[in-house]
Amino acid sequence: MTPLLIILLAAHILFGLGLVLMHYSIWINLAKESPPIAYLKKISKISFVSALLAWLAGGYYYVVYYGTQVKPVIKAGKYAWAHSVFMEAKEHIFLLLPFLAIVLAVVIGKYGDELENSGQLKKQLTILAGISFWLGVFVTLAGPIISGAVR
Amino acid sequence: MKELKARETSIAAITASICAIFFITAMTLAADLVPPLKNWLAATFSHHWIGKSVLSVAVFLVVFWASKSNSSRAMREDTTAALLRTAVWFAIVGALVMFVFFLYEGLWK
Repeated sequence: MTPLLIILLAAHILFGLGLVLMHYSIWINLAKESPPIAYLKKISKISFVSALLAWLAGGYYYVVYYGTQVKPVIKAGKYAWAHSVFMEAKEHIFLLLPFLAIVLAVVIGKYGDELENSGQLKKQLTILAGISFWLGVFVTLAGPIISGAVR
Repeated sequence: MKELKARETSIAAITASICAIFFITAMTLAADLVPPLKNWLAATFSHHWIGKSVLSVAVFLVVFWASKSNSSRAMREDTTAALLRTAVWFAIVGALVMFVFFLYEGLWK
């Protein structure tokens, strides 16, 4: 692996983990009776940027290196399902995350202080943040399953 | 006025995301079930996954702009919450469908 690929592999993990942690924070803070709106506005925007960067970094590594160098090794080994189930699921379920992130950033950004007393709107946004967090957890945990299958 | 604008943009973003999520799920299944489609994505975008990424962004942008110009829905206060609920379900069902699909393809097919 070239130094660039190593950096991008690490970057996709860091930005991905950052996204998951930020969506966890958004989830639990939205659930509060008085959500910290200024904090949520900032972190939801950062989480969207993190999603984009994870997309780019991970995508580059996946397209340039994984397909030709890693996938054949996994598929020829004892744990071919690590690619056909977990990598396939991970690479496609991840695609949902930037769109969920932009919804959080836009709605929190636009509604702002109105969110506190917005009833159903706050509730559904909280659920959305929770779903995004758990999808991110799946995508994150699929990573070690896939890389473990290479060894 | 400011409140209406907030609702318009939010509704547009949520609607566009719902469409993007639906597109990603449908394209993921279709590309695996219809090899010429996957080949077309790879030939056009250099990789099928890049094609799905680019096209999902295109779907989002087109629907976002089309939704922004349709402000009648923004007049109703409960539209944003209802759309968020829809987005939640699309995300859950989309992710589950894709996972079960690959589980089936990877283990039983």
